[in-house]
Amino acid sequence: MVTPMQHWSWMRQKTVSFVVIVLQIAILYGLADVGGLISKLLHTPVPGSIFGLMLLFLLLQFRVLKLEWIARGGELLIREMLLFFVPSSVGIMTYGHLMLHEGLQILVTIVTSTAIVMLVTGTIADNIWNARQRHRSQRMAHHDASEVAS
Amino acid sequence: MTWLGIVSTLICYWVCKKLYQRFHYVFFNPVLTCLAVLITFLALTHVSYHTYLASGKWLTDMLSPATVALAIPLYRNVHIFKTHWLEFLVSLICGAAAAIVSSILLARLMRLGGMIAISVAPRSVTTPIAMDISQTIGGIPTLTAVFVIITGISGVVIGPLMIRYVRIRSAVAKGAIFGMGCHGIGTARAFEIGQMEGTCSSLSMVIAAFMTLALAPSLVPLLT
Repeated sequence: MVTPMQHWSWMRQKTVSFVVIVLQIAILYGLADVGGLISKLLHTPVPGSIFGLMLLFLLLQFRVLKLEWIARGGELLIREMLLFFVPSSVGIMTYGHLMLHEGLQILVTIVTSTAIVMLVTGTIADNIWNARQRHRSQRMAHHDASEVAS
Repeated sequence: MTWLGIVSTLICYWVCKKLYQRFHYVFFNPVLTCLAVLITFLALTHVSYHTYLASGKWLTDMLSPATVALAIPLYRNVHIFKTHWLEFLVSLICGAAAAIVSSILLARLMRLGGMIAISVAPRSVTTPIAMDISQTIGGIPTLTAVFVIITGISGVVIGPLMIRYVRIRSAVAKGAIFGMGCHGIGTARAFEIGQMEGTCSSLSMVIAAFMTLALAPSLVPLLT
């Protein structure tokens, strides 16, 4: 049984967390705007959202902003990022003609290129990781040996 | 009328997400199914994209704060970057260069137009940044947004195959593959493999965006 009292406190909790998330998103929105302003003032091709990202990182690093002031809203935005892609990708319908005639070539290009990118990135990262791992274990062995000697 | 676009997108997205969680099948990726349903809906009701976007742009506007929010995983996982900075930096510079060069060369090989080739180039980074880069280098941002989605979905299929057949063993490299190859959609997939892989993927996604941003304006004019 849910008493009206419990129901009321549940409603209040939900409302409070909704307001908190909206406020946190507003902070992030503000940072994006500041980033946009920086980008405009510097006349760079670097988009404003990137300046906003760097600004937020620095503010967190220097403890001007606390992580919990933005974490819930920010993580919600990251988690549901796919949703924000939807309206702009619906724009594909205005390129129906293009997709009908060159869709296959586009698909081949993207799939092949993605495979190349993954091959390059994966093998390089894995090889460096292996090399450094070997280096580390060698150093450890060396360290152990010198400790035994002394 | 203005709220109709947002409401229909939200409902559609919610249903498609539930569907994906239920079946977990690659081609049920929420973006893909949502796109198919919305386009069919708009075509059947003869609503133009322009009208839809007037309302849908409220959602698109959330992409910039979402990009800013990427500082959160970066801040949380900066210690992983400190230990593995060499792996990340070298592999992601090469990955970003490979993405730009291979997309433009393949697009030209496929005899696609110059505008398309330029719009394909920034496709392996997260949408808001890819659209901005596309604008900067003279591509069509909307087209880039579509290519980013296609990249994400193909990457989710290719990634696990690559890891198995090329025998990628470290979590760092697995994360880098997904973060560099297919941005946010790949990061979601990397978290299905493991916490470390997912974290490395979200780090790689942000660094890849920086690399592409740095390389694209100078590489693209050389190739077109």
